[in-house]
Amino acid sequence: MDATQLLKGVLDVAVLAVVEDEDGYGYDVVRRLRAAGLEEVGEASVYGTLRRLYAGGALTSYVVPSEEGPHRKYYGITPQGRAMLDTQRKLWSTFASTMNDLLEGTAA
Amino acid sequence: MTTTQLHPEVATFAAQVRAELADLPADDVDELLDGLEADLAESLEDGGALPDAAEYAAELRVAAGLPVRPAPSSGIVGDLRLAVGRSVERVRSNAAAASTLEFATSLRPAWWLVRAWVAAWLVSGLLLGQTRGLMPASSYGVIVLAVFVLVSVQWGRGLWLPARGTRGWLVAGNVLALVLLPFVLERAVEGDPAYYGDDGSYVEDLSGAGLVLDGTPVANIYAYGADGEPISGVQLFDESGRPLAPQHDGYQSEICADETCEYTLTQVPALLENGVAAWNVFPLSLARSTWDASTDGGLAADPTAVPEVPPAPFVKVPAIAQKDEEVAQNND
Repeated sequence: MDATQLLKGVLDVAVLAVVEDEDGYGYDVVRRLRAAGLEEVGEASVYGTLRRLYAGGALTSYVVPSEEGPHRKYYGITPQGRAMLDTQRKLWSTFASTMNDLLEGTAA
Repeated sequence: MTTTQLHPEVATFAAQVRAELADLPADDVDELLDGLEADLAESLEDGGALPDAAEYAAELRVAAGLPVRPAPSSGIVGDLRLAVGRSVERVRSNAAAASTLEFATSLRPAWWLVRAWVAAWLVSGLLLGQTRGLMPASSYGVIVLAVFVLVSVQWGRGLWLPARGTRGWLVAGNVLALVLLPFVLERAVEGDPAYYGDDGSYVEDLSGAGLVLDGTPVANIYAYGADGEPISGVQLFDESGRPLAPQHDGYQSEICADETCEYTLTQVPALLENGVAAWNVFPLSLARSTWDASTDGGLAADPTAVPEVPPAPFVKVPAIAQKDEEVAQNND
């Protein structure tokens, strides 16, 4: 099964989860997702998702200038983003256990 | 923090991505691409490779929830649309130009009416033969105009639009209307029915052309005294002291001498004691015309001809009834 297809539906919550404890810039978020095991995540998908979550009020953003190159844009989670993350966490947990039961049930 | 040095290929790639997003509002693009170069550079340093700019931009769009780029139209139209999009973006980045653009945009409904009028005028000209006048002369013309206005305004509002594939014709139609506008306007104004008779013949604009009675030029005036006898050498002025003179330029005052019209007569002014030629001395005399290239119509009174006063319409008119006292005084 193609994991990228599965990823599309959960990229929002995954991105929220990796910036929950620490703010991050675009590639930083990509790196965290990959480090967590989502190796097939597309960079542009992550950047687009960050922008959409920011536009929706789940993230804040601020720019950190760099002396040696282009500036970085950091994203941090907002209270609204945390609420969204909580809801989606519960949703995911229910969904995942349903799927596990279903898949294990058919396997048996 | 990783040291991020800008790779030249990153700048090129970022520019390509920006170009791919040229159809989006500039603010959205700026926000989307802010920090992109730093991220790309770091990705390269991590051993990544630059992907295809178009695919990358498409992925950005989808993930950001921005509208998918309109299917690239073939050839010139597509290039043109992209170029327009880019120049609009460039103009928008300038405050003064942006407000001008905004103002122009608010005038769009006026253009919807103008293009409808141009189209209606052309159709009326083809089907109804009306090629004069700013407004339709017949009720059919009014219906044609109303239909065009309705369709044009609906299109302007994004309603009733034909299928996507035919949008190019809409653009072409707008351009055509814009190009034809000055020509149609000129024809319409020049041929205004105000200057034409009911039969389509040209009617002289009589304003400012001398004495006029009920729309017909007055060539001469015959005065009769209180006793009803014709009098000559009457100088006439209006209430502000302007001389009352018939039109007397070239052709206008030419009168055929007889039915054969072998030669023509022209009016001659009376000479005042101060040497001024006066055209307001009635009745004006007529003299045979002769060719004179220096005048407007090429004709002037022959200096050798003796001016004659044309016969009066009435030999005598009823005298004015006098009051008894005046009669008595006159009898004194």
